[in-house]
Amino acid sequence: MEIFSIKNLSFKYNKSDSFALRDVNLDIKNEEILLVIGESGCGKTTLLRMLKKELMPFGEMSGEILYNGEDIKNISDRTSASQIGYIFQEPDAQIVTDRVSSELCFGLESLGTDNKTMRAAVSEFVSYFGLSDVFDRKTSELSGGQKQLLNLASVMITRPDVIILDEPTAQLDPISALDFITMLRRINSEFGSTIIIAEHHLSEIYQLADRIVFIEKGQISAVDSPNKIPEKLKGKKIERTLPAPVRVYNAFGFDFDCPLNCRDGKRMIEPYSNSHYISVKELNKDNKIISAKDVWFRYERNSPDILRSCDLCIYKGEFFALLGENGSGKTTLLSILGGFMKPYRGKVRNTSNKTVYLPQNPRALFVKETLREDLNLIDNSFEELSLQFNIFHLLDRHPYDLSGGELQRAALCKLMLTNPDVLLLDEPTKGLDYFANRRICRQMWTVV
Amino acid sequence: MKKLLTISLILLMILGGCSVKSADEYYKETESKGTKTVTLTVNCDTAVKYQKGGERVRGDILTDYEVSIGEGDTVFDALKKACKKKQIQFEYQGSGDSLYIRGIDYLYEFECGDLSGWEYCVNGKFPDKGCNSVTLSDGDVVKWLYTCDLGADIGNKYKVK
Amino acid sequence: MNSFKNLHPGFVLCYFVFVTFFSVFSFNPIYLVSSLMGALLFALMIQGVGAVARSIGGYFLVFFLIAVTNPLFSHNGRTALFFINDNRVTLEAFVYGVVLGVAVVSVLYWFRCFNEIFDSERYMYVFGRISPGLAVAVSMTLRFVPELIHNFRQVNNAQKCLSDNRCRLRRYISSFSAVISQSLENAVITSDSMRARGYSLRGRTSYTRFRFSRRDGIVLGIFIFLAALSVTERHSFSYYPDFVCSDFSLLSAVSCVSFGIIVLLPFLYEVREGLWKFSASRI
Repeated sequence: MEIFSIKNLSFKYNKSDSFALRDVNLDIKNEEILLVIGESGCGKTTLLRMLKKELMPFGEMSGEILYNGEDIKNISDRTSASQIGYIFQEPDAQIVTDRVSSELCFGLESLGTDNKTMRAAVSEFVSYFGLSDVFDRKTSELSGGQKQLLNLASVMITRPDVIILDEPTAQLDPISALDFITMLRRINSEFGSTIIIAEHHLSEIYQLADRIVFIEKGQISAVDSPNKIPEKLKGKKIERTLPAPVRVYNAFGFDFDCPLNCRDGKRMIEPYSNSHYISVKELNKDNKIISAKDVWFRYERNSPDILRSCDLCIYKGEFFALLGENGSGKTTLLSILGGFMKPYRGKVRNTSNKTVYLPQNPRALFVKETLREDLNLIDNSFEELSLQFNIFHLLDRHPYDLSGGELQRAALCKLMLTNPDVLLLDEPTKGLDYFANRRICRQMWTVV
Repeated sequence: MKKLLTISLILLMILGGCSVKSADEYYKETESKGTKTVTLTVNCDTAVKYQKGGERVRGDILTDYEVSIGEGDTVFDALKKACKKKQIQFEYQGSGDSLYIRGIDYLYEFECGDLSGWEYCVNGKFPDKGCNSVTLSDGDVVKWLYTCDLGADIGNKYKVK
Repeated sequence: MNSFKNLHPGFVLCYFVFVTFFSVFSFNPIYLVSSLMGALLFALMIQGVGAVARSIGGYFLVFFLIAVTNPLFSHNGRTALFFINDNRVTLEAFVYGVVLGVAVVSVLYWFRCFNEIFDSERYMYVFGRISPGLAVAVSMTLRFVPELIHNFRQVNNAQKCLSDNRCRLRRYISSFSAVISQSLENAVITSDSMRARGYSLRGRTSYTRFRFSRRDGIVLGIFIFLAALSVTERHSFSYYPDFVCSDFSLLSAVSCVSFGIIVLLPFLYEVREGLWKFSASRI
């Protein structure tokens, strides 16, 4: 049984010449997990939004979308609100109210549910999503992962038949992303909800999907199951974003089924691993540039320690990665290394001439109407560097109109204009797709 | 502490321009005799009628009382002098032209309804001015009457101009 | 020591409204003193001795100012203490000022307790009862403002370490405009998220965790009974031109006592709950 069937759907935005979607034909089965992949700007978001009546973009549309056999434009607002759930990429911006409890009930309140039913639903879903510890908190106190789980819970609480998710884990750290995906799988298997999800980070979701749709320039170019589709993606750019075992399989063409997870992948390459090695280059440990010794830090007098007896040594020319869960103190440590905050105990020595810091939200670096004005604030010889960072063509755009990757490159460019010795980057690849990600990484190598 | 100091300073400044006397001192003070004499009546029969069965049984607070006043003294000055002599309580607010009598002999405006208060007439006419801007001449007859109906019950019906 | 808080917010609101209104409008020293005592006891219970002791100085200043200024502005009263120019300063006005001061201070203490007890969730309950839409609007504002401040700090910090030689005001202004456009962008997603969850539908309700339990019912019953008793025969007091106190009757004595019990309700409730806690402590 199809829950959605899309027939000959074409769509063009009002101010655009080209089609955002062209001749899309797709049946979405009840209770399946459908993964939508494709490069940024390929039309994934447009397609997902077409499935939710309230969020349909404005523009020219032809063809039809049937929800349970009925034209999606004709279903009632109430049905659409309660049966089709939609989750956005930004965990923060889609939260409406100030408290976890009221946020959770927002959907039920809209539907006019009475308090008794709401209380029952709340107690059920709070424990199901493991939110009981944060139920009394304010939404602003939650971590990104908790926020996205809350968003999922507040959509699930009306028991929708379909949940549409637009890159829900893009802003999350890998561990929270995994939690989120695991929760999706549970929802699918325990509630039987249909899940339509667009994603860039495929390593977790890939093996859970029933079918995968690959969209290229507004057209569906492949639909198949996870272990069949890799062959159809061979040679395409998107191939590089597939999970590691799938990529290995595709590159070498083994003669058994495509492995979807590491276990199967390991089994596949085991016979070869004895004869192949990876070598690691040694680092020159002569010039210390930043060193921290026994650093303790807390934000307020009575708050808990964020850093406890932290020792660190960074050498000149080193590419140093700080790994850790959200809330483990990465950002705090970076701010202390940059000298923006002072530890209450311990010493930080920074021998560089100029240390710059790229905040998690690179928008914070931009304050002018155009990129050009913004870069001009630092140094007027920015054009050469902007070519190098591949943002020359964006100079006259408003910084907030840039995509995540473009913005990140522009931010890096702005920082590099100050001729720094040390670059402190706070999660520079967060929220970027694979290609933008690679670009940032390459850019960083050239900087070093 | 600083606040307290400022506040007491302000209070001192306000009190500085005032003369403080005990009640006995105030009432025993003898005023210099003036050149003119006016006749003053203060009456609140209307209020007695209005508060039927209330504490106040007599409306005649002052009847045909002769006050001697000086050159340029106003209706207010006459009332003040009479009250001081007869030890009658009264309260006013404001100063100069906008001076206004709120109550005489513990009877205040609004005590007998929203339209009640003290009005005055000089020689039978109700001037449209504040009582501190009407100067009196020798032999004037001043009446302070309490109204419960914006003047209608004491012969000064309010007219919209 | 804050069991009163756990009662239903509707009841708590009624209680505070009744007690403060009664305190303000009774002008009866017996009611006022008992109201002040009740409020002080309540404040001691929920804020502790230290906080209340620290607050007393400020409140006393308020009381003092009212008691002193009233006789300077009101000259009614039979007992003249002295004259300032032609105005009498009377004992009655001074006493009235004292009573007014007690009334204001006791109301301030009741508000203090109310603030402690009535948190944003309880306010949301009240707003939700008035109009669910209003509750959402208030809740969104409560979320938006701190978020804006937080974002502003973030942007400002980033700007600070980028360029330190520019004037601070200009940095503030540019950071602020940047934050505003950022918020506008987020608002688009927020409104999408609201529409997606059916905000535009008719017949919205408002979620609340507060349930009117049997316990609330009992306390409310007692409260209404006492409140009815305390308003039946008000023992009246007037100050001008002399002090007049209506005669005590059995009924007026009963209403005095019942008002006394009303102001002690939080304390009595605490004692009652303490018994449960005691029994819990023996588990």
